[in-house]
Amino acid sequence: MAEKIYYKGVKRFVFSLMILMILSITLFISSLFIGSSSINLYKIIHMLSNIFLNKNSSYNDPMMNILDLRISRGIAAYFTGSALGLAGLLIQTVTRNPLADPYILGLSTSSLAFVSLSILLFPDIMIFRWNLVLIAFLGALTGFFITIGLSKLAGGSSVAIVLSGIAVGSFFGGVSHLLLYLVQARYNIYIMYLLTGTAQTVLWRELPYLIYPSIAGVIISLLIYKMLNAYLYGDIYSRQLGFPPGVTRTISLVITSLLTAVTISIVGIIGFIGLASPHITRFLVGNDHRFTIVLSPLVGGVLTLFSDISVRIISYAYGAELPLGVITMMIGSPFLAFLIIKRLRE
Amino acid sequence: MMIKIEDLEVWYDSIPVLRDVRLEINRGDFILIIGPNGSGKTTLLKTIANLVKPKKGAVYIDGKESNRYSPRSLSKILSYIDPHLSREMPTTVLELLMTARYPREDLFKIKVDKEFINKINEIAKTLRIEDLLERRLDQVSSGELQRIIIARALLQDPEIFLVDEPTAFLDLKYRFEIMDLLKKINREYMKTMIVTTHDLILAGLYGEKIILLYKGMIRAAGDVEKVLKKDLVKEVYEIDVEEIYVNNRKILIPINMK
Ligand SMILES: Nc1ncnc2c1ncn2[C@@H]1O[C@H](COP(=O)(O)OP(=O)(O)OP(=O)(O)O)[C@@H](O)[C@H]1O
Ligand SMILES: [Mg+2]
Repeated sequence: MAEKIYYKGVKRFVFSLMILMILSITLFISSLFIGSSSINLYKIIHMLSNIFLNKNSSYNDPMMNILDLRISRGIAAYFTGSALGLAGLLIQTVTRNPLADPYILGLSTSSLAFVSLSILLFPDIMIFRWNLVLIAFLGALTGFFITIGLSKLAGGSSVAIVLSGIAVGSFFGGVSHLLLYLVQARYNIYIMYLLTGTAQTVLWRELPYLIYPSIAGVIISLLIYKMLNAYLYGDIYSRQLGFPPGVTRTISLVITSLLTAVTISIVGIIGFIGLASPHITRFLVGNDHRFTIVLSPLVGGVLTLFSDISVRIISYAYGAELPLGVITMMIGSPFLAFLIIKRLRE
Repeated sequence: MMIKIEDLEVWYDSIPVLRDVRLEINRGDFILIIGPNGSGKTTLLKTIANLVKPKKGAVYIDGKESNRYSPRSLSKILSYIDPHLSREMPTTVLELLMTARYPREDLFKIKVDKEFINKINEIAKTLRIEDLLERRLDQVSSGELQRIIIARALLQDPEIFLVDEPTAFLDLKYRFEIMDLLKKINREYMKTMIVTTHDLILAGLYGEKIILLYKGMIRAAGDVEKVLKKDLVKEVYEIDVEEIYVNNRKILIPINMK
């Protein structure tokens, strides 16, 4: 009986993994074709082979530049989603709250407020990206602790956390808006896009900031998957199995805040991916972190890349660039509404 | 594994909860702890499991102070079996049961042993929860949850079981079944059992050594004859009781308020 259920779970994991891989690759390849100028298949294969064979001969080709941008944009969208997929999973586990998400709990906007302030004060910081990421990281942690503190005052229920997060998030959202407006007015650089993130502006050399932390996050989380599983059943339970819950909390919070921070400092606020990905993942394979840590980033990547492709199609049709964060918000907020209704009914 | 408790004093914030607790528990003992609500039973179990820090005194396990053990090595020796699990995140019964072996497994091991899965089958069958394995943990009845928690404890298989109110919420049949099971494990594998209960009838039927806690102190300790005395129970629980003998065992039947 138990072995049947267990192996069914493993099979579902392998199956989901394969489907998500196929979806990822299909979406990525189709993303190369979609945009304001059309590139045909022959051209793409030709140029891709040039890239991989390191022949820079056709680098002057304007088509080549467009393709270059599309590849970096696709990778940026995908890894932003992966980072948020993992961040969302971990923050839900740490708060033991299925409604949690870096955006809903106010981490994203507090992180952005810190980033905006530091750019306003030290515009040079844009060049030192790791410093910016560090500041974004501190901002995310700050937002988290304010939200948790506030929710404790409000009784600490799962809905109290969400409401506190909305209060904290809106406050820092307003602050970010103001600060970015000042940055734009003072230094004459276009930066308001961070408010509703976009992958359009991401450069090749910025991709490592998204890729490495995501991969490192997955590896470290997998190393503590047993601690995370034990943590789900309460602090006492976790301690009685020999895992200090404080350690689990600290590691997960650092990863969550770091991943939120990199997405904020490179693409800006992308809401709700962190909420939806873990739920879709749990629907596929249940709540064993051994599986969810691997799948949630893939689900996040697929969702975000899909959203970005939709953005490109809409932008192409109407001739003006639509921010990515707008689409994820449209997909994600009905999800939140559904979860809240389910929660309050129980 | 021998437990020795010396001059224990435990406080929550500024309230004393346990005072002057001195105990010696030998390997293979079967101990029942009784006492009114708030008398400190749960706190005593948690202190033994090093989940609560004493203000004074200490718990020694095999001569070594319990807070000197690493959390992981302590988790192989003893287990505080908590009736209150957090069930806020949706997980299945099987997912909970699979965490039971974590103390004995390598932290990074991903594979699950076939032998462990067989063990889950066996124990699930004994406790008749085999049809619940796929069920979500927040969708089982209190009695079913109690059995799941006991099953999980058996899978963890520590040397010392600290079982907090295993018979609460259970119907009459399962009360006896769980107590029989705990006793069987105690006998067959020489596991030390320390069990709290509010059920004085069960205490009479299963008690070997009984500890009566009252206002944070050990009011009486010893065998059934010594602890389950009419006057003592009247004083501590503020109820009237009648003594009867069934199969040569003394049982106290609560009658009404005194
Ligand atoms: N975390 C806590 N913080 C403060 N006081 C506590 C805490 N836990 C328990 N107490 C208090 O300590 C005393 C002993 O509680 P404990 O849970 O050990 O009693 P118990 O004998 O297990 O009671 P019950 O039969 O109701 O389970 C009670 O007065 C209780 O109010
Ligand atoms: Mg208790």
